[in-house]
Amino acid sequence: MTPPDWPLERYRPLLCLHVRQLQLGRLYRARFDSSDVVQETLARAVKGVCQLRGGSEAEFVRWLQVIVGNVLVDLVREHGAAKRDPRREQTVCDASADGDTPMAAYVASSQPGPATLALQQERLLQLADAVGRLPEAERDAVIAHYILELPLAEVAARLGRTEKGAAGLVFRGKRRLRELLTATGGEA
Amino acid sequence: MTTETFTDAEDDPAAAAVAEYLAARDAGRPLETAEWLGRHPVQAGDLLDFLGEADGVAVALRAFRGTAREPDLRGDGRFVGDYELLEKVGGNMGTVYRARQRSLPREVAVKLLLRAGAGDRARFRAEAEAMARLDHPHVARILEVSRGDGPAYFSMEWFPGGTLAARVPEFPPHPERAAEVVERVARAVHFAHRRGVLHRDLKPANLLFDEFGQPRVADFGLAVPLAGGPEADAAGTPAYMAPEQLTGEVTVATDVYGLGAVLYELLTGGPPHAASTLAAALDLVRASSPVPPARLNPRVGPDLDAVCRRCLARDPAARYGSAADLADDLERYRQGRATLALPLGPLGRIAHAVRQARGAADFRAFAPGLFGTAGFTLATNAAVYGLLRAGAAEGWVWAALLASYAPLFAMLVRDRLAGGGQHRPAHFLLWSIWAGHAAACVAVFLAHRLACGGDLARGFGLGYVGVAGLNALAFVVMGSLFAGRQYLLGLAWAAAAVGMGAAPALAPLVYAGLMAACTLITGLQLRSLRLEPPAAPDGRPRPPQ
Repeated sequence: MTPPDWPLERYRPLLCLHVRQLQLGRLYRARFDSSDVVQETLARAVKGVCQLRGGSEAEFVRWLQVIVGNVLVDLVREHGAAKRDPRREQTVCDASADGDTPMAAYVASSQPGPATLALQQERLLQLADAVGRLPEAERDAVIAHYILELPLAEVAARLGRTEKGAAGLVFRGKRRLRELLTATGGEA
Repeated sequence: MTTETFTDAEDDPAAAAVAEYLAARDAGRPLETAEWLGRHPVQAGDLLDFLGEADGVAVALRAFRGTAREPDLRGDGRFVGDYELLEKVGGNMGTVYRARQRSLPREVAVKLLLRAGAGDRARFRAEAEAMARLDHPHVARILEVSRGDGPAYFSMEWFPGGTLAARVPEFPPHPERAAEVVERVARAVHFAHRRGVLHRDLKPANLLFDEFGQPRVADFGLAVPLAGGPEADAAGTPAYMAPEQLTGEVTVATDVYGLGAVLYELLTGGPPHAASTLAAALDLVRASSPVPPARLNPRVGPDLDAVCRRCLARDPAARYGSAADLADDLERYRQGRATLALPLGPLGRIAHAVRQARGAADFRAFAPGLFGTAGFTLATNAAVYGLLRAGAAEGWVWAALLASYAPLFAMLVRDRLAGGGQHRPAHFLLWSIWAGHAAACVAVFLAHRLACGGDLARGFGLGYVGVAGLNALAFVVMGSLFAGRQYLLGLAWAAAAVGMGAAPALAPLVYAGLMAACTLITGLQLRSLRLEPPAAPDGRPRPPQ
């Protein structure tokens, strides 16, 4: 087996963030374990990776994104095996494939956006990695507040905290993230 | 998720303060930052770090939200409020559509917010409010803003003239047009600054043309209050960004830089920091100064080059103090006065005045005729000298003298006929000068002729001395109106008048030589003026001259 052009491990933090962000955002009500989704996606990707040699990085990441969608649909289907709901499955699949997700953002960041200072891809990976290193609660608070930009009450509800607790997590999460980024040598 | 983390976070002294701040923001009643910090003096430093964007964490995280899905214009998605979306025309934070209003027969531009995060809505709202504060003939006007929980949008005036970005190629051959457009935009931007709004994203794509060919500033999507706040984030378009925008320390000088970037693109055809990749553009913004416009476009003179480079100075303090200062300097440039960007000493001012060619281009068609006139003038005035020496009848002398005025008169008449009855101020001035000068010359000759009685040669010789003085005046006047080099010719005439006084008998010859030389020099100068390129082939209205 030849090594892939794009090592899967490189994208693990991005994938973790992608799935967690979906779970805290669009797929808030769907029941699944985000780490299961990441594991399953990586497993399927390893099997299929040889067919994908020679493509661009963007194609590769888009392909990973499709696998995430498939894994999610399978999990949701498995969970609600008694009453299958095709519309719901479609929603889950769409959510992963949509543009407002980290993986899509990564693909899009190779084309400079017109206004907001787009980050280079390397920095997006670095940032995703730093987010992944946060304690779980702070990580979720950071995703819900800074990426999903939910109102504080909603952040608290999704994290299962009081508003004060959620605000504290956001505050600490940001501080820790800054420390992590400074430690890895890149100012965000 | 351990209980420990939970308790810690809840008990963090900053938690209550942050919760208070965010809850107020969500309720649409944002707190005054200074006042809020004042109530939490112990944590103030940490809280400021939390709100601040110096670390860029919040902006960087926002990148993970990617781009949202756009409405399907073939389905019901095209109906938003009172508008029917027709086509996407651009936009960055929201998306801008050309749209038809359903309750009124007009086209408008509708900016749609495609995301619904609390921060997005707040920024979108801020943009609409910024525009609403700016009622100015060169700023796009906002018409209506959405209310309630539905899709967020606002409508603006629609400008069919397109963006300046689409017209950039029209400008490099005409630096003075570029200066005029940027001058107008700078006045509008200064107006925005006075109303407390900083644009932060000035570039040709954000400047529109209305149906009268006037520029309009649009897209306040990145606008922030001038008073500043800790939430100003690093944003902008890399190719047009000021160095300080990378750190978020933006002031009026940042928009002055943006105006300079627009001027730069109009003068050179490209942005100050053109690079094939985003990363390369950012490195350029950080580390280097753009190539001077005059080096890329030889038509850009040293003064306009200096104005542009002053705007693009890396140090904000080295730029113009305000957009109005820039507009004033561009106005000075257009009027042919010395600019502040290129200060001149007394000698420099003289050189500048002499180099000026304000209205001369109007008379470019005169050049070939002037070459013939030079020869004719030489011949007729030399003939006067010959006739006087030979003691010919006075009538012949007068005939030769008056004939020398004929060619210029013929050229003026032909030019007037070619003008087709249009009022052309410069041509009117030239007529006045010519007619007044001709009448004065005849009067001077007559007067000296009468004063000298029988001595014909002395009478005409002294007449030439007087006329040389009149010529000195006429050329200085033409220097002030048309081309600075005529000042020098005026000086030459003044000197010649003195010389002629010393030897009145030779005056007709001196006059003949100098007049022929002046005519020849003027003709050569007119011929060297650049030809105006033909009008734009698509017949679109140009920004007025």
